[in-house]
Amino acid sequence: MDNAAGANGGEGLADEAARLADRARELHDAVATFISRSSADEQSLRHRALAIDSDICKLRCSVETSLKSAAVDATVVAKVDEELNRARYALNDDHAAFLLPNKAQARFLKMFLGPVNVRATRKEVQLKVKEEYNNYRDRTAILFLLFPSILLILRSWIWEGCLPTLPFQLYQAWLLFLYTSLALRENILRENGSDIRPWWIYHHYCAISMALISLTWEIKGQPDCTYKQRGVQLFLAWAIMQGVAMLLQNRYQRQRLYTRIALGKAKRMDVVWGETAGERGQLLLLCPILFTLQGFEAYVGMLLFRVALVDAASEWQAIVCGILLIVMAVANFVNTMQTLMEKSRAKARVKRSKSKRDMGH
Amino acid sequence: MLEVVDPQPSGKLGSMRRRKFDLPDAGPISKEMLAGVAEVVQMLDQDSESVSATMGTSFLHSLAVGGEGREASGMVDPNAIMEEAARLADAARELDDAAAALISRTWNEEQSLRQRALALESDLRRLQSSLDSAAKKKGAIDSKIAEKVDEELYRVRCVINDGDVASLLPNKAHGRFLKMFLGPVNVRATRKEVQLKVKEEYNSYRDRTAFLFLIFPSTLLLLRSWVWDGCLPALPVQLYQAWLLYLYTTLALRENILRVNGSDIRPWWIYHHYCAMLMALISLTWEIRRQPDCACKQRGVQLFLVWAMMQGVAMLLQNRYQRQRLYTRIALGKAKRMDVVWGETAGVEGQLLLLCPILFILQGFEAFIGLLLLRTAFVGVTCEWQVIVCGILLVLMAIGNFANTMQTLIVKSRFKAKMKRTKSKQDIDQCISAVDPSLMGSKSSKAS
Repeated sequence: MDNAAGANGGEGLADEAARLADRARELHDAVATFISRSSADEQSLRHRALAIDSDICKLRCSVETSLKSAAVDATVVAKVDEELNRARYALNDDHAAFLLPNKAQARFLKMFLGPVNVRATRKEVQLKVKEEYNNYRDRTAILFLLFPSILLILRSWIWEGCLPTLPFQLYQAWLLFLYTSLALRENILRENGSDIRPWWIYHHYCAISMALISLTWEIKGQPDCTYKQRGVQLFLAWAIMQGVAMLLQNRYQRQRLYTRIALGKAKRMDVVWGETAGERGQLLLLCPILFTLQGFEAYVGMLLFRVALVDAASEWQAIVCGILLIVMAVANFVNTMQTLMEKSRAKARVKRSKSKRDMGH
Repeated sequence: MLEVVDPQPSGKLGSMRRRKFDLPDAGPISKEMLAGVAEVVQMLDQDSESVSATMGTSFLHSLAVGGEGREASGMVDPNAIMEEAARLADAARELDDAAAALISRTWNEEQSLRQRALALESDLRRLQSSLDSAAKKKGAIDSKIAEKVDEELYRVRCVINDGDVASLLPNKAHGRFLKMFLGPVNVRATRKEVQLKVKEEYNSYRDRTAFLFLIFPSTLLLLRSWVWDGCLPALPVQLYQAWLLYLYTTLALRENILRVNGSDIRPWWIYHHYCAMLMALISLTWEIRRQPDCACKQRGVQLFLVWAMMQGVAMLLQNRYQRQRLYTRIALGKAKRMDVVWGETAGVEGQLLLLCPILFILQGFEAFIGLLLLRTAFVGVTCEWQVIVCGILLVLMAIGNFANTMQTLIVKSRFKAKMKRTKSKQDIDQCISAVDPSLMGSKSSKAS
C-alpha cells in the first residue's frame, strides 16, 4: 500500500476488508446450502437404491423357491440370474455403491482406525487407490527379496554362520510393520469395492503374528549356534521365496488393473467378464510357480516343526511358527486352486454366451 | 396341498417391511382368508398361460402371497419373472447413472467452492500483510481504522478456519504416518458433525482402554507376588507388550486421523505415542528369563509395569478433561457458534487446575523410573541394550510431556488474558456476529 497516502490508504484497506468479509459470509452460506442440498440429493437416491435392493432380494428368493420345486426352466433361471447380476453390479459395484450402507465394515479397520469412512465416492479415486497400492507392493517386493538375502550373505561372510540377534530382530520389526500396513491397505481396498479374496488378508494376519512371535525368539549368538539357527535360516529362505511370489503376483495384478481401467474408460459394465481376457498367458505362467512356492512353504514349516520337536531346548516360538507356515501354505494352495476354477468357469460362461450371441439367439 | 404362508414373516425377509401392500398385520391368518387365498391361487393357476402378469409390485405381491403354495401346483409364469428382472436391471442402471451424475455434479460444485475459498484465503493473507506493514509505519494509518480492519479480517479468518468451509481447503497437517500405513487414502470427513463424531468416538475408545491400561499391569504385578514367587514368566509380559504395541499404534493412527480432520492435538502427544510404540517393540525383544538371578533382571520389568500403571491413571484424568472440552465444543457447535476456541477454556478451568499438578507428578515419576532403569543397566551385572534404550526413551518422554504441558498451560492463560482484555472493547462472540448478525443479541456471556 502507498504509505504516503496515510489515512486514505487506511480507508482503502477498510473498504477492502469489508468487501472480503462480505465475500467470506457469502461463501459460508454457499457452502452451507451446498452441503444440505447434496445430502438431500444423496438421501433420495439412497431411498431408491434401498428399494431396488430389497426388490432384488425378493425376486431372488422367489426364483430360488421356484427352482427348488422345478417350477421354472433352468434356462429361465439362468437368464434371470444374469439380469439380476447386472442389476446387482450396477447397484453395488459401480457409481451407486456409496449409497447403500456398508454391510460389514472391516473389523480390522475398525480396530485400528475407529469408525472412519475410507470409502471413496468417485470411481477414479478408487482406481487410483488400487494403483498406488500396486506401486507400494512393487517397492516392498524388492525390499522383501533384498533384506533376507543380505542377512544370509552377511551370515556366511562376516558372522561365521551365526546370525546375531539385533539384525534379525530389526528385520522382524520391519516385517511386522510391512504386513500390518499391507493388511490395512487391503482392507481399505475391499471397502472401496475391490474383489480381493478374504484369505489373502487373513494370510497377512498370520504373517503379522509370525513376525510378532519371531520378535520374541531368542536366537543367541552362542553357543550351539548353527543348530539353533537352522530354523532361522529356513525362515529367511522362505522369506526370499515370498518375495519372488510377491513380484510375480504384482505383475499379474497390474495387468488385471490395466485391463480394468481400460474397460472402465470404455464405460463397459461387464468388467467382471472382461477381466479374464487380458491375462490368460500370465496366469498359466504364474500358477505352477505359486504351487511350487506353496509346497516349499509347507516343507519349511514342517522342517521348523521337526527341529522344534527334536531339539531338546525347543522353544514354543519355533513350534508355533512351524504350524503357522503349514496353515498358510495349505490355505494359499486351496485359494489358488479356487481362484483358478472360478476363472475357468467364468471363461466358459463368457464363451457360451458369446457363442449364443453370435448365433443370433 | 396348498399352504398359505404368512406373507410377512418376521425377521428373515425384514426388507419386506418396507412394502406393506394391503396385507393385514402380521398375526394368525383366519381360516376364511386361507380358503379365499387358496381359491384365488387356483384360479390364477388355471389362467397362468394366458395371464400376462402385471409387472412390478403386484407381481411380487402375488409371488409373496402364494410363493410356497405355487410350488405344489407347479405353475410360475417365467415371462413375468423375466420382465421383473429386466425392470430391476433397468432401474438399477438408471440409478447408477443418476448416482454418477450426482457425484460429478457435486465434485464440480465442490471444486468451484474450493477455488473461491482459496482465493479468499490468499486475499486475506495479502490484506493482513499490508495491514501489518501499514501499522508498522507510524501515522500511516489511523488506529481506529486499523482496529476495524483487524476485526473484519478476524471474521474472515473465523469463516476460513472453522466450520464447513475449512473442510474444503487442503489440509496442511502432516500425514506421513498415515501415508506410511494406509497409503494416500482420504480420511477427512467433509462435514463438521462427522468430525466431531469421530472425536467423540475416539474419546470413548480412550475411556475403554484406560481401564485396561490400569488392569493389565496391576494383574501382572499381583500375580507376580502371589503366584509366580516374585518372578514373571516371559510369555505374559510379552503378550502384554504386544497388546501395548497394538494399542499405541491404533492410538497414533486415530490421532493422526483426528489431526487431518482439523483437531488441534499438539504434535508432541502423537510423538509420545511413537516413542511408546518403540518402547513396546523393544520390550518385546527383551529377554526376561525366569531363572537364574530372576529378581535382579526383572527389576527393570517391575519398574516398567509401575510406569504403565501411572500412565493409565494419567490417561483416565486426561480423558475426563478432554471429554469436558468436547462437550463444550459440541454445545457451542449445536448453537451454530463458531468461536469454539474461545469458549473451550470456559468450562474446563477447574479441571485444568486439578489435572496439572497430578500430571507434573506423574511426569516426574516417569523420569525417575527412566533414570532407575539406566542405573540398573549400568550398575547391574547383565547390561542389555534394551534396558538402556528404554530408560533413555522414558526420560525423553517425561521431559517432552513436561515441556508440552507447560506450553499448553501458558497458551491457555494467554488466551484468557486476551479475552479479559478485549472483553470490554469488543464482543467475545465476534465470529458469530460475523456470520449471523441475528445471533448477536442472543449470546450468553461466558465465564472468564
